[in-house]
Amino acid sequence: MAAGDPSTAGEPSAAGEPPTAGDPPAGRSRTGLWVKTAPFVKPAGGGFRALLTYSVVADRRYLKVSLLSQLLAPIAYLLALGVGLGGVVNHNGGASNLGTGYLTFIAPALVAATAIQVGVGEATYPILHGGFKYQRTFFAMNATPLTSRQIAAWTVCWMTIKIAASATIYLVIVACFGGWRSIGALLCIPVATIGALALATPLAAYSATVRDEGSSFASIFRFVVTPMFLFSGTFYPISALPHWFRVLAWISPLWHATELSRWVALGPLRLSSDIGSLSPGLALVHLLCLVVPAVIGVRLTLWRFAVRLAE
Amino acid sequence: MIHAHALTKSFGGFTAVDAIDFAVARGESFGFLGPNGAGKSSTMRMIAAVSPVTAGTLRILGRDPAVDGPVIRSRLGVVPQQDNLDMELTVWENLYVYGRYFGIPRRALRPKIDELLDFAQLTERARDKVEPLSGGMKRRLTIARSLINDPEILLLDEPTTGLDPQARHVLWDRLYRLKHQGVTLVLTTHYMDEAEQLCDRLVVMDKGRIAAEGSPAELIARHASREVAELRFGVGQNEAMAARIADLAERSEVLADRVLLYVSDGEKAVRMVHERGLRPVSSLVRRASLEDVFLTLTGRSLVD
Repeated sequence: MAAGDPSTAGEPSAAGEPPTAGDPPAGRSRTGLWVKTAPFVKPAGGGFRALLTYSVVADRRYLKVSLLSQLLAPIAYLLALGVGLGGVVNHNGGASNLGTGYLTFIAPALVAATAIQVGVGEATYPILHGGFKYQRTFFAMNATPLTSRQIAAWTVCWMTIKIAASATIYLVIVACFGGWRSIGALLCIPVATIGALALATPLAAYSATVRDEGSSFASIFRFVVTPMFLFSGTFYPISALPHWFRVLAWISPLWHATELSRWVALGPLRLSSDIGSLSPGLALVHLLCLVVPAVIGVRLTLWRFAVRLAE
Repeated sequence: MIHAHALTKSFGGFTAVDAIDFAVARGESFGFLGPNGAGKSSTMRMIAAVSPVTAGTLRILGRDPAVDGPVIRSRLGVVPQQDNLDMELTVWENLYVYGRYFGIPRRALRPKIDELLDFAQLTERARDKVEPLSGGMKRRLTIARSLINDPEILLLDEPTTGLDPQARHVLWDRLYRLKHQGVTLVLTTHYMDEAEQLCDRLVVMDKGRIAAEGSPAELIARHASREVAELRFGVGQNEAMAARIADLAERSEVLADRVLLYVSDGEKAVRMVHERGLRPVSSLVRRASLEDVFLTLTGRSLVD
């Protein structure tokens, strides 16, 4: 048999309990097998380190595909919109109106928009299908010392890591297209990440609650994500829209993220237009409009995970 | 190892487990038997320290699951009703990741995984993804996984439901070995043969309550007669015939195709039926089984 180096063994069984008929034969573990793991088991479990191991093992097989799409999508968008559409815009007075080239104008917004899409993707199917419904991964985790709180918190952490990674890749591509204009652009990463979490964490709580998504996830993509993408000032300043329509921007996390993203990336350039300029007060309001829903979303997620796993 | 007193679980207005008492001793193999919806799985999830107790007391390994959930779970092995393996991961990765959840370091896990793969007869499939494995293999992997932390109690919720007879027998063989090694087993099942094979002691649950408790042999002695005579009178006649022979048995039952007489001496009962001038199309005498106890206690009507 392949196993057993009995020298790795420590003290068997719980100390202090009198031996009974149920005791394993000498030298064996409690299950009658040779290799003892009981001495290594941590009563509080493996925590985030173990969950990180799972996430890396589970996601590494998608690494190539996901890296490829994370590289190709920004290249396609920046080519089509930044270079193609941007060329038309710039030659028709757009550049002077905006105070900068169109590519520089949309790049910070596209980083924020992509981050939100990644966040929505992470907060829907992987949680309901993988975690609770079909593979039931979260139930497997919860049968070990890991708590619902740790599982929920890690789910949000891993989501955050993936959102930030995709924003970082996007920025690198932006730089390759010559859209990187100030060191402040680096702050687009945390801004885009918070923006994505403002939508993704309440959505994660929803995914942990529903039994059967029906058409709700498809509807979220169709009626929330896509319109948000179109009307949050990504491609044009929302001042181009009718007054009554602009009100909608206030409930769009993408608009707040876009405003902040342009502020950190383009603000230091002091453009001739008002693009990228925000008063500190307004910047704080935008930030709060993202942080508050994100914090509420995290709390809701912790709660809904606890309820679902306790069933 | 496990003590439950007036243990209750409610979901909203529905009481799934209704004030049950039981205790499981170390090294014992204890079964919960009952139809679907009897409250077996709810009880198991409370013992697994994941589902909070609504009322009553529950102590697992001397601890309160409401306070020491993680500590209790670190010493349990759980085989859930529905496999929750990670289909995208390999067999080896499933065991490795699960071991990490218990905080077991890699150097201790490697030899353990080799041993468990051997135990579950999955060594050749170690590098394969779980998805294409057969139902029996997946189940064996789930059992191997539940042993990764050398559990003091192994909880098995319907371990062989949905498997073909060969796969069930392989699994029983593995579970029997564990039982023989002194592992405390707690299992739920609705298969009588499984209960008779694996359980030292069991409780029959129905509608959230315990209907009977004892060893398989005790339960048969207490709740069924020694033998059962099965008489077939032909379609449409069983009802009428049953009325004429019911007095021959301790208890009788009419089914669509046959009449059951619960008696101490089956041959004698059949002879007496014939003496009354009745001629069943066929007759069969058999020993009473746990299945008769089960149907007597929980009824024949289908629960969905």
